[in-house]
Amino acid sequence: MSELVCKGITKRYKDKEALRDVNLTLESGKIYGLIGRNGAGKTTLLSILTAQNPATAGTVTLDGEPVWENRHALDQLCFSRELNIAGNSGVAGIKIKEYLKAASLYYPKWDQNLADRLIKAFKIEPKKAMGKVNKGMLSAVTITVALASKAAFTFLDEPVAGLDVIAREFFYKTLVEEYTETGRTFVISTHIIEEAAAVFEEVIILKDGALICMENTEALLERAVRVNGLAADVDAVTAGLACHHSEQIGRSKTVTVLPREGETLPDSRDVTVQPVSLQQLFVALCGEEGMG
Amino acid sequence: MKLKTWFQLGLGLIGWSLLCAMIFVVVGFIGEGFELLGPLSCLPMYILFCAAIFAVLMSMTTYLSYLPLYLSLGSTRKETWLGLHLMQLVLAAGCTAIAALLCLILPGDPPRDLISLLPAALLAILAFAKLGSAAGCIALLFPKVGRALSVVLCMVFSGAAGFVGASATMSFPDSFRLSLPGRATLIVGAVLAALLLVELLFQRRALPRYEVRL
Repeated sequence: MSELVCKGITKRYKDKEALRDVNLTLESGKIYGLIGRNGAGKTTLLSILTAQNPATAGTVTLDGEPVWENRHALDQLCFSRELNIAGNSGVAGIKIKEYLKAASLYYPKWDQNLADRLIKAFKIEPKKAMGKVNKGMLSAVTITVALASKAAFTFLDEPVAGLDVIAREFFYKTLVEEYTETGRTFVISTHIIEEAAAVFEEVIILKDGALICMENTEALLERAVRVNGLAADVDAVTAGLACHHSEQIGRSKTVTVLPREGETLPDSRDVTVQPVSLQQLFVALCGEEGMG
Repeated sequence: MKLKTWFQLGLGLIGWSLLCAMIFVVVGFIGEGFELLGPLSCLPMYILFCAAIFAVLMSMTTYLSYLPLYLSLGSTRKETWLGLHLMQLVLAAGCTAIAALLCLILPGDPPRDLISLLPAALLAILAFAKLGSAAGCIALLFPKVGRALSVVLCMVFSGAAGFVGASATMSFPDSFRLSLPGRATLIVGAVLAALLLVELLFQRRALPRYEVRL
């Protein structure tokens, strides 16, 4: 079983620390969801994991081999970047077919039949320049490259941005089919959490450049609850527990609780305990006062 | 090593150079009152000139378009570095070889005179490619300077294109013509070596820390 391991990854720009001592292990045969607010460091992390950008400190290894400048390791990784092509981008003039052709030459397990099927399904226009198509089509190109690459570890950055709901449904369906057939590992960074939550086997949450959570999605959501009731009762029940994102309206209070290992919520008839969705938990963990 | 894409880019550039050279011939054909022999005899020189233009412009734009593209598709930095040099070499060698072949086939003085200058022409195309690479590296490190530089290079080459078109059939004194090949090869070789050094210095600084953004 392959493992992609990153140890102590830190990325500093002139005046900003984009990633801070990130340690994680990605195992083969799983779909990971990478979530975080804008600027949390998701794209930076994916770029470093796939050796597209250098880290300031730390190492990334695939089965013990460093991935940086390693052809053997890179053959097993695909990071299909979100294509944010502005008019003056150097890539804007390159045609989609040229991009796909280059991808077919770089990924050793490239599946042209799958690529053709996705081009047809997404109605991609290969003869158009990348700078001349809409955001949805660029996302479709990103998805096509990611899925047809057949890379053992495939990373998608905001793959559904700009896609309509039908195309998004098609993407998730194709992704799950591909995952079931091949057992490839997918890491999907997205802001549309509610929609993607069902396919995430594990969830990775980044906040301000730090990894704050990496856990099996089901187990995480089983632990997390929303406690609602009179403020005094809620405070009594949740005392000593890891509470996030409390809201108070009058005397009523709602708190999201994520008990640490070994901790349990005491039984109480004075408060209401409800399950939370991944999106609600994410908001509780990453939302800031005044915005949540 | 995955260098196929770079090799194909080089072949594509040979094709574009031939196409542009043919446009020069057609313009000359029309300009000289539909006389074909004169402009056609200059075809090898036009090919070399167009190769030089594409070498400088493509090498420069490679840093802004193909470098991020290929790195984003899983190329290593070493591969892109080698690939860029391969592309330049394929263009220079391919166009020089075609020009040499045409010099042997085509009638007239210009092709015959050009044969002895072909080694210098090969080095000159490579030197222009290195100039483009150095400019591309500068554009990576200092984007505003790079943009200004690209405008200047375009202006210079537009002017040069006009000059080549006008001077293609000019004749030079024999003493100059005979002493030119040796001198030209030496001078162009020295310029190429200097530009290669500049390019390598910039590449050494720019490539390892380059951040892919599409």
